[in-house]
Amino acid sequence: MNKMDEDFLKRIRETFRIEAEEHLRILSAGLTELEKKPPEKRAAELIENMYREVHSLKGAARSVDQKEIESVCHPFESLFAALKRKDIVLSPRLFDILLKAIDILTRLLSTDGIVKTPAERQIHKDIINQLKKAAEESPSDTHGKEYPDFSGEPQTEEKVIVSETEKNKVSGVAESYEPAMAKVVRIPVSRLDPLLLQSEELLQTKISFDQRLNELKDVNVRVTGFKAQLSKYSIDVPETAKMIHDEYHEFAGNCLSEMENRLNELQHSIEKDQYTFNRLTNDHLGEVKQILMLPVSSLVESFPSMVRDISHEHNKEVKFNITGMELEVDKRILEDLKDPLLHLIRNSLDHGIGKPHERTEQNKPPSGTINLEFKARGSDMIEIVLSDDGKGIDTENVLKAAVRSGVISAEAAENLNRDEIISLIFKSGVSTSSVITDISGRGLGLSIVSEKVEKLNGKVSVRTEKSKGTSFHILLPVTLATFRGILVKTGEYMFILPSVNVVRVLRTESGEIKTVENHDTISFDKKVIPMADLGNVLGLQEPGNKTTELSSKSSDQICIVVLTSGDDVVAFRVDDVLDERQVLVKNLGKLLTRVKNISGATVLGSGNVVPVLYVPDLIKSSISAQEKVSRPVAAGITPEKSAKILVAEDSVTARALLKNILETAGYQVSTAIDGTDAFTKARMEGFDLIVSDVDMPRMNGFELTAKIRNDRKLSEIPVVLVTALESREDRELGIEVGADAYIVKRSFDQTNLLEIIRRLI
Amino acid sequence: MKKEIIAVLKNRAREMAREPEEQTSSATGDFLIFALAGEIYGIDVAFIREVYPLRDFTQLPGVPSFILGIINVRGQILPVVDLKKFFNLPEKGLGELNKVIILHNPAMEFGILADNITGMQPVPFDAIRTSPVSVTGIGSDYLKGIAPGNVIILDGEKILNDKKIIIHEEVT
Amino acid sequence: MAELLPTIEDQIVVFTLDELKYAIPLHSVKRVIHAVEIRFLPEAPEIISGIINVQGQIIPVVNLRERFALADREISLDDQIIIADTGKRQIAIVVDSVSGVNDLAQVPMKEAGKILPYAKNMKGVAIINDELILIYNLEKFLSLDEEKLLEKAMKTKKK
Repeated sequence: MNKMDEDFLKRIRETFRIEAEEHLRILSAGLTELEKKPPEKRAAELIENMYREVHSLKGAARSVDQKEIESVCHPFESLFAALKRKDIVLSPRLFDILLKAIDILTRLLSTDGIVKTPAERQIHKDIINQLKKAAEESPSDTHGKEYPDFSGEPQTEEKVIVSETEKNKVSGVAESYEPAMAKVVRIPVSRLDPLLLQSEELLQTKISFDQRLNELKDVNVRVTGFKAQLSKYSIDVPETAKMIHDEYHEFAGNCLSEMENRLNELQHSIEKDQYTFNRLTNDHLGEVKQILMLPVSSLVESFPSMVRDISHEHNKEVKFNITGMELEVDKRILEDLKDPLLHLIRNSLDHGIGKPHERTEQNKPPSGTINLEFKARGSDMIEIVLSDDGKGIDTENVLKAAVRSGVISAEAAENLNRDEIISLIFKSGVSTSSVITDISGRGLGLSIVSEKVEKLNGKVSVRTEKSKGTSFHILLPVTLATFRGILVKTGEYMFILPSVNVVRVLRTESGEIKTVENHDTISFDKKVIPMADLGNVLGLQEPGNKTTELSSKSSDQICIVVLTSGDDVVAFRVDDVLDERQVLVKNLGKLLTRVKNISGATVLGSGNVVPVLYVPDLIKSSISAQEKVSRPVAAGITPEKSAKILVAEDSVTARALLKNILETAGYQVSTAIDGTDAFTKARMEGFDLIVSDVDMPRMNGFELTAKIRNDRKLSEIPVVLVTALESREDRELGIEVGADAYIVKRSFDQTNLLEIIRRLI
Repeated sequence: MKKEIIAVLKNRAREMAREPEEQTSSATGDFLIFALAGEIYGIDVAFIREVYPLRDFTQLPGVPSFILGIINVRGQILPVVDLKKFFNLPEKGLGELNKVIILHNPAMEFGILADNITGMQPVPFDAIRTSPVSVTGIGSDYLKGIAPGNVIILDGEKILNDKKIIIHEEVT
Repeated sequence: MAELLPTIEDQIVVFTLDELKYAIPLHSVKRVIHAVEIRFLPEAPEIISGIINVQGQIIPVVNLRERFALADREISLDDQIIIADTGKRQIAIVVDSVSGVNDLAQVPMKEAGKILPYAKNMKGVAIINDELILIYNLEKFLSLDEEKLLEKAMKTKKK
């Protein structure tokens, strides 16, 4: 073993010891509380907790190759599993065994798992046997048998006696053991976050430091330039003025020389400072990041029980293995990984692993296997592989689902190869599950998985073979790092575009833009690609205004950024590309969980906050923006945006909210305070759609809908009922009276409402 | 001093001298008092992380108008909500006195815009009367009630936990 | 959650007097009210400009302008009165306006003892938005003599 490995092992053992101490502390505290006979609910909770603790301890012991500890943990865990299932009940004797086991584990920990004497070894064997034995007892066996009366089991008794005596011998030695105390303080993770923020601010300062230094260098170069120019500069002056001229010339030259020297000195010392500052910042940030690295186990510890629960629910048998739990990953990445991983696991359980009889028919063992592996890839990447030995992904079903949901056209589907078809599962709306179950099949899951992974600068891929199994591979950086982005300007706004998505930045003649079927396009690399205006796509200005402004500003030169995501390539027109720089992306806070087109924000050296654009969204948006521009031109009518909507709602808040949402989406909105008011207004003005609450004074939403349907003039207007009522009867009543859609307030979200309205108008 | 001014001061002194109607010995909360669209509001300091001056903010494209934008608070990006827009209150314009009150609970954190901060005031919880009608455009859902001095007490918990404020938009 | 909030000890209430900024610790501030009529209190020390009645409680008004050596002026309608607790008693101070609450954890404060050893009633100096803010300790605001005189004057009043 070389030195590095030794060091590593030492470090990891130390980590293990700290972790194990914590597990043991919780275990013995739990045991003490259990002995006091807490209420049943609390007892169950404690048992569950302790079960998990001992399980984690076992896993951790295994990962650092502490076989002795693992061997004691194993029956310990089985015992708790039995307690959980209520196969056995707690008895004073059981407490005794458990306490002894914890004792032994504590001692093992303080000796680094090394067993010194045969006597000790015997004690271990005994405790393992006792634990095993105790786990196998049925409740009736232990019932009524109070310790020490277990004469029915002479074998065990004998062993206990042996171990008691042995224990006495050992405990004499035990006095000399150093208690396993480590110099560690526990700090709540929440306290660490501001620390990281601060060091990231430092990084920000470092970046602006670099920029300032470059500016200074620029000034320096210019001063040198002036000096050179000045020395060449000579004019013919009359002899009389020559002396004054020469003197002045010399004076100016001296001034410039002095300034040049001063600037050189300044630049030199700032460069030195910068070097020191950079080193300090990097070290500091490195340390802080190290602090924020958590073992993968903190993420996955709840997974096994979840898998167990779901597989029981679905009558499936699943073996779930996790490896590589000791790898350390930035806490924020772990947090963002939780949902995607849970989703993938649920998918495997739901779609992948078949029921035992299905599996047996395919000559597979009745119980399926799901493996979750975490592997280090180099020093800064981690690979996560989630594999199952299930049915595999049925490419035909995927294709059908994709065509059904309109992700691709039937013609396009013909030409796809196998890999391309499989990658379709990451598109939103594709779900192969024929029944929407509560665990998966909504057709959104995998698209969210790939989106989350992409946001973490990672990649997700899938390998599958029919009836053999499926494996998802996620490759991720272990720390959140800065990335390069280009700073662009459109109108008054500045944005960052991640450089990874930028194919090229170019300036070209506006004449290069060709309109094909009402879509702007541009040739790029001998291909014709769609082009959109960034400001229009982001909705910063009304389509149309731009062209006039542009033609007046500069008809020749335009600035274009060619962006890519997946297979799509789209050109975006911007007003200016300012520079390329290192950026540190930050999330937008808990309130803005998902903003379209934007993945986060960064702080410039000047302190300005600039949004970082999310290119996959941008490309999707550019397509719908194109449609918005082209449709009115083609049809020659007013755009759909100006559709008029009447909102009937008696609550002021809800009314204001609905109005706000709809107006933001570009509709003209009028409001009515109840059904009667709404009906009057609807008869007086023409509306394209009515959104109504159900529960309102004077005339409720059902009555209003019925009245509208029976009115000759109004009968065709779509009606959307938004309601707090949730019963099936109400929903049916709503449909019966003629409502076109029925949205329950509890599940209300604006995209849902807007989508329904878009469909109806 | 002008007579009118003296009269006003005397009047105020008389008002101030009046002893509270019922001497409540109940629990008292500290409330931050601020002005918004011409009304005086109070919010329990338990929900307030800090008050931050609004110097500069960045608008985000494509979000509802009640999201004023995002600000940088010592390295942390925080969204700022304009309650005037959210509740449809009359617009009084952005003055120089704009402050951001950063609301926070373990699950949520964002700033709300205030026209001006008046200060802190202890208010006994049972002095907060539920108002029969919502005085302003703010629905009773978001109000705890009215405290003496016509201070409208906002329900910090409700506002922080309101799912309607959360922006979660997918591009379809 | 609680530990994330700045502790109240770190917060100060900043107010203005003749364009100058001063501050007192937030924990000593009971409330802020609009200017009201101040009744002159005979026999009180000069530093006391009078008394006000806040919901039945008689509170002496400390004349800050006198203490800070600012030109005296009559109370105006826009003035604000801070009711504060000195530890011994409640006092009221008339200020031009209260400009807000600041957190000293964010704005470093220089201890007064180091820079101004003679300023016994000062807690420190902070700079917020380029403005110098003098932070005072209310506990030592009145001298012992003043306290005694005030005590006496208040007693007479009660009679």
